Amino acid sequence: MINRLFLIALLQLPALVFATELGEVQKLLKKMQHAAHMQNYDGTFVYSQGGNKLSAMRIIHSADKNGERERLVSLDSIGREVIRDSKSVICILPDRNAVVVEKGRPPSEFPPPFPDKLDHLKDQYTFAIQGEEKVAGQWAHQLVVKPNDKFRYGHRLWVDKKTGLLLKTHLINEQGKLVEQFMFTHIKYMTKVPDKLLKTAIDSSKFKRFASDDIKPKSKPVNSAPVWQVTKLPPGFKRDLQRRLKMTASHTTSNQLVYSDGLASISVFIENTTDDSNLIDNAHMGAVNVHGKTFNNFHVTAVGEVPHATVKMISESVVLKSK
Amino acid sequence: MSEQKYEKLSAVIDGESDVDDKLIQDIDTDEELGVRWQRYHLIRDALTNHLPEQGALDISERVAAALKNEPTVLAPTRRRISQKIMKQAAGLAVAASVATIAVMSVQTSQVTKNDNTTSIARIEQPRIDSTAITQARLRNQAIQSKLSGYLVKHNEYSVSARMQGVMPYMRIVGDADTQRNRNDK
Repeated sequence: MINRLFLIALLQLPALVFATELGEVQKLLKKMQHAAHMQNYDGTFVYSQGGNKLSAMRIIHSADKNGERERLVSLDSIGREVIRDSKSVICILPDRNAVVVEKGRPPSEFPPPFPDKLDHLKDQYTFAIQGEEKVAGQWAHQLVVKPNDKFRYGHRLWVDKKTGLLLKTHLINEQGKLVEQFMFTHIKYMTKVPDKLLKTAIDSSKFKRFASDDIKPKSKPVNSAPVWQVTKLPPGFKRDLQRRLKMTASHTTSNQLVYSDGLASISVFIENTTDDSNLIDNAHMGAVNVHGKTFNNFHVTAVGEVPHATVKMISESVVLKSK
Repeated sequence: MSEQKYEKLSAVIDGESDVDDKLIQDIDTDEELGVRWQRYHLIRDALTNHLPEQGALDISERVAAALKNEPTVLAPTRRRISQKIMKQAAGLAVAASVATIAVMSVQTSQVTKNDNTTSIARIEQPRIDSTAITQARLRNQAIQSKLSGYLVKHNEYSVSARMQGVMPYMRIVGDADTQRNRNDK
């Protein structure tokens, strides 16, 4: 009897260890989400895409009784600024002598900033907290998110041990190469952010002002069953959304289907067009891969922060559902 | 009459209506309409992170200058380009200028079988056959424009692009020097 109990306990041990660790990961992700909105800080970070270009920016974030406020300043060449609060987003573009004001868009519910439910993700990714490292002078937990197959990218996240703020991220492709990164080089936490830090130092009184009131979102989600079907998807990917939208640059109507495994997303755009403006084959925009193909009188383009093989597989598998 | 034109203009920019020849003609002749057309595009481009370079804002002059420098085969070339592309090009010409193709904020690299990093910009190197250039240019421009439109629409729903609140805005703020660097080349 005792032996049997021991055996059962032994068999359950790996599962228990796994569950505890996943619980830890979950806690860390929750803390990170909370910190992104609630911390007061003034920091400098660098951001690079594809490893070519490095940009340095300063960010000041405040959360108090006035709500969340944020100022983002480019530290390279002519400093563009974005000032954001709950009511508006103001872009100050000194290189254009222009100020663009976007009046508060409703807070978007989809997608979540980072998934805080791991149940769905744990089949596709392996999560592990791998020790501690210093980033911008702060001790941070290193969270490794490793894909279980070749259809998605991996992530490394460095989360401030004390505050929970995300201090550094790596997006890693299927060959183990870094495709996008973000890292704080300096950060100063504050109990209260002085108002003057949240205001621009640029004299924009002579700049042209543009308000976005003229621009209304014209795309609406479509609830009806899709006419288009993606017949081959990597494991764990599900359709999140379908919408019909007007593409402003090309004046065409496009169907957008969004598939996600909870972490990586892929958009499939389908247009009734066969003209010269469509991408055939591959392209990439930083970490984002694109694959396009034409069939019958339609063009399909899959776009996503996933390996090229994934967007290719998906775009090639699109069929028109027979009625 | 004017109000109708403005409504039409707004609809076109919102993507609710197609550009027609009448509108292009109106923009050409009606100064206020032309100014609005540019302004609407600027706002849209700023919001979607596609601002043209400084100086390109007065597009008509740049386009006129670019056309002047173009070999005279331009007119026959135009006829060979499909109607659809011309319509798109007409919009783009005013919004981002034929002469400023390289300012797209999204750097697209087309992967070909021979060269993994052939960029679209490089395909546009001057060639003797200007007919081909103009066509290739318009085509690349249309593709880039379309892809960056897709990227913007995709980012709205991309989880990893929004891991942190600042992510979507990093691209706007950081974009200025990407363009600057390209200009220096």
